[in-house]
Parts: sequence; structure tokens; C-alpha cells
Amino acid sequence: MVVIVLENILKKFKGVVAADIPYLKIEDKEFFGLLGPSGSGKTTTLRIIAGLTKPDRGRVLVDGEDITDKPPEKRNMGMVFQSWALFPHLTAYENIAFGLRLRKIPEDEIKARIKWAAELLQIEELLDRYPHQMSGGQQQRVAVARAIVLQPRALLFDEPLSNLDAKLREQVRFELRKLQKRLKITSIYVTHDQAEAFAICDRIAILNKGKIQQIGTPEEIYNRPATKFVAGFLGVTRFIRGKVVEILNKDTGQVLVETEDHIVIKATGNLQKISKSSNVLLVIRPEHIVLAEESNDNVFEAVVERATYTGDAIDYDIKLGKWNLRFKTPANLRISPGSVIKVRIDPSRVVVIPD
Amino acid sequence: MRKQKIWDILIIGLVVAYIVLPLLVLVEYAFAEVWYAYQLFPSKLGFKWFSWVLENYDTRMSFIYSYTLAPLVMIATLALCIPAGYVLGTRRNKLSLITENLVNMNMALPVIVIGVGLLPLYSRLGLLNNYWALIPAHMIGAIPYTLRSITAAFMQVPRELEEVARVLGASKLKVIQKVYIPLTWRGILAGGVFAFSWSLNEFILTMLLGFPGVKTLPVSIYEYVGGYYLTPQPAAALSLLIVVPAIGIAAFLEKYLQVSLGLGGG
Repeated sequence: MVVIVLENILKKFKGVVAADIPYLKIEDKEFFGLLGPSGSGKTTTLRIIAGLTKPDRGRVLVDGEDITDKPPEKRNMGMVFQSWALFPHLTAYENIAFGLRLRKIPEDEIKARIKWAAELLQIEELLDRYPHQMSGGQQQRVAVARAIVLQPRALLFDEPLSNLDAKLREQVRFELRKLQKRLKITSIYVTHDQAEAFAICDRIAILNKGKIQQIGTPEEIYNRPATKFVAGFLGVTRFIRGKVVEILNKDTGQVLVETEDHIVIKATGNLQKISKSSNVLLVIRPEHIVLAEESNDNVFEAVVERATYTGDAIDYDIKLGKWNLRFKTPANLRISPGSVIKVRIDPSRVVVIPD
Repeated sequence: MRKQKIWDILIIGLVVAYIVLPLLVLVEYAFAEVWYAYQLFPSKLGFKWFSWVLENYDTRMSFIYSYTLAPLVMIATLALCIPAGYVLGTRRNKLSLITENLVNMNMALPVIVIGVGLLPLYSRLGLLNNYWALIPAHMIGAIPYTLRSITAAFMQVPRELEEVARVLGASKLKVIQKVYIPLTWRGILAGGVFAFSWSLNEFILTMLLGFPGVKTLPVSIYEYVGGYYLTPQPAAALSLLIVVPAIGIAAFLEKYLQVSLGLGGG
């Protein structure tokens, strides 16, 4: 069992907070994501767990054992870097054997373990190549093999796919997840790519300016963002500013929000965080808006400002009152700019967050 | 087009002539057994001057001095510059940059200036005419070049390689042995060659601090051409004897370096 806990961690670089994490628990065998823009502290957090960065204060616990002062070589973790960091003077085989050799494992066991890892990652035919003789995708596989062959307590990934081209990246996502589920090693994955984190991770922490904004499954953080930052970071998000005028249903959290320009929109919020007459933001994404055929509830008039053909759909910029929103229709439907349309905003999916 | 080519040959020819002409004169003098002033070329060639200098006790000693000092200076300079180059190359902080500038400044400093500083110091410490005391003196001039070459080699090793090695279980010492040395040995070797040839070339400090007790080859040669009477022939023969092994070593290393570059994993 491997549970990783960060307690009271603080790390500053030249006075600027890089990571400030009061508490974070990564459960046994889970694939945990650290997602955020660059400079959000996700890599710093990962490096603190690896032992490559020393926190100013706080503790790192693995299964209750305090490893904060242990050097990286004593932590028995596997790590895959963004650049993959293969040793250029060693073949793929020797790269994978590097950690095993340091542990003085007998040669025949090294051979067997490398065979196992190479089969798992389908790199058997690359083993005698040098890094410069391999493509990015191949180097990435060797780097993963080098990390798992040690049977580490945890696997740490630092944006290992960002140097791959888009198509390959998508394929490797699923392979990485499959591999982790098969090996059942507690893993942490750092990325700035939402789709990548969603495809790979069981749970995700969204970071901004060194602080964790929200932790949850991809569904939870996407559908129920807790802060403006999380809502804005995930998906194509537009905000409408307003005030709660009525609470319709205490169980579902359905509320009425009156916008600054006096449009009343029904939406859903967390009633622990908002109450009547709170200043709030409505989090509106393209998939929350549909064309309304007839007068339903939560239907509003909007003006089409721009229509963009994207191949599989048409992307519209529309104006509802003074607010700019985005929504999509199938590609066969084309509404010309300037038209006045009726749109329905799905009250159960639009989220209200405190402003 | 043709005109351009002629110009190219002319310019390159000038450079080559500039380097080769003095060497040609040197070779001519070294092998000339009989050469009268009115003759364009020597009338008799042979090894007379070579055997002459080799039979001379002083010059034989200067051979031993030069060719033992050079490797000692090389080893001592490397011992100092490998750890220093590691620090300067891997931590690019303010202290590193200041150190580097200070060391580089030393390259612009005339050696005679250092010599003037060292002379009273050596005299007080009783180190004049001392073979071993010449090692640190030679190192002063060699260090900037050697350090530069080694620092550059360490700078080219990506930081992540050290980090990934640490995570894979390597201690700091193991990282140097298994990552840095395999990736920097060419730069280290080049730095060693710099130190070796610097020591072999060193004249001013050896003259100031070692003469007359310790005469290295350059000092012996100077005695022949700059002493009481001008004898270019033995000086030329002796010069060739310095140059040949030095060229041999340089060529061997260069070839070795090139070969391994081709094999390399870089």
C-alpha cells in the first residue's frame, strides 16, 4: 500500500510562493493529477514528492513515514520527465538497467526485468538503440520502462507527453492509464492539458499560484467548479455576473439569479456557499445552451454576433443582454450573424459560484 | 568565379605560409650540417645537431624536466578543474559567474606580471630553483583554459539527467561517476591537453623562478639563441625535439577524440 500525504507544505522561490499546500492526500493505487497553468506550482509539488526540491516547511509522508529529509535516491520512486531525460551515452537497455545496476541486482534478474518492462511497453526491438536513434514516442516509452522496472513505490510523471505530436499524445494517454491500472502503482501526473488529465487521472487537483483550488474527479471539477479560476480554466467558459434573488429548491440548489442588466436566469448552486442576495457568477459553457423551439422556461433572446465553421460543428458567439456567450450547433445548421435567436440555458447544468 | 577562387587560394595560402615558413626554416637549420652564408640551401644534411644536443647533459636534463613537468601540471590542473568545472557548469549562479570572469581575466594578464608577483614570494619561501615549485607556477596560466573547457562540458549536460539519476537511486557521487564523467570526458581530456601544452610552452615563469637550477626545453633553447653566442642549429634541433612529441600527442588525442565522437551516444 502506498498513500502519499503532503502536510503544511510551503515552498517559495525568491519570495514568490511556488507551492502552498496545507494538506493533500493521494490514495493508494490511484492515478492523481496535478493540473494548472504554467507557474501554478504543479511541477514544484511533484519535485517535492520526488525529493528534488526541498520544501521550506512541511512534511511529505509515504504510508505515514516522514520522508521529507530523505534524498531522492532513497525514496524508490519512478519519474518520467518532460524531456524524458534518457542518458545519451547509454542504449535503451542500459538506460532501463541504470537503476537496477545501482541496486546491485544480479545480471540475470536485470535481464528478466528488462524483458518484462520491454514487453509491457512494446520496445523489445529498440533495446540496443541509443536515444538519438529513437523517435520521441519511442524515447517516452523507454523512459516509462526505466521508471517502472524498479517496481517503485510511486510513479511521478512531469508532463511526459507534451513533446509528442497531438495524435500520438492521444493514443499514449490511454496506454498510460491502462498501464497504471495494470501495475497498480500509486501515480501522480502533472500536466497543463485538461483533456490529458481527464483521460488519465482518477482524481485531479487544480492548482493556481501554488495553491490547490479544488480536488475531485474530472466530472466533479468540470461540472461543479468551486471557484472562478477552476470554472474558467476548464472548458470554454463565459461568466455572467448577478445577484441571487430567490432560492427555488433547497434540495437541488436551484436558484434565480438576476443579472446586472436585469435578466433573470434559473441556475444551480451550492447553497453552503451562496444565499439570497449573494453576489454570484453564472458559469456558462457552450454545452449548456441549446436553440429553443418554443417558449420553455429559462429561454432568452440573443443576437448572433459571429458564426465560425469548425468542420464538425458551427461555433457561435452570441450576445445575451450585455453578456457574450458561446454555443454550438451541428454543422448543417447555419444561422447568419445579426439574427435574433431564442436559446435555452439548462438550469440544472449552469452553476452559480460566489463572486 | 575564377577570380574569386584565386583570391581564396591567395588568402588561405598566406595563412598557411605564415604558419609553415618559420617551421620550414627551423627544419632546414636543424638538419643543416654544412651551410655557408652564400648558399640558398644547405650543402650537407644530417642528424649532427640532434646527436649534439642529445649528448649534452644540460639539454637531456631539460627534456626530463619538460616532459615530467607537463604531465604533473596536467594532473594537478585537472584535479583542481574537474570539481571546479562541475560546480561552475552545473550551478549558474552569481558566484559562478564572478569566479568565471575572474579566471578569464587571468588570460588577458601578461604572464610577466604574474611572474613579477611570484618572484619575491618564491624568494621569501625559498622556492626558487625548485622543480616542484614550478608545478603551481605553470598551473596559473593553464587553469583558465582547462577550466573553460571543462566548465563548458559540464554546462552541456542537461540538469534533468542528474535529477533522473538521483531518482533512479544514484547518490551525488554516483551521478558524477555514471552520468557526468561519461558525458564530459572529452572536454576534460581537451582541458588536460591544454594544461599539458601550456606547461611545455611555459617560458617566462620558468625562466624567472627556475633558472638556472631547473631548465626546461624552452629555457635551454633560449640559451642557445639568446645566450652569449648565437647558435641557431642546436636550438633548431632542440625545438624540433619539443615539437615532435607534442604534435604526436596532440594528433593521437585528436584522432581518438574524433573516433569516439563518431561512436558516441551524444
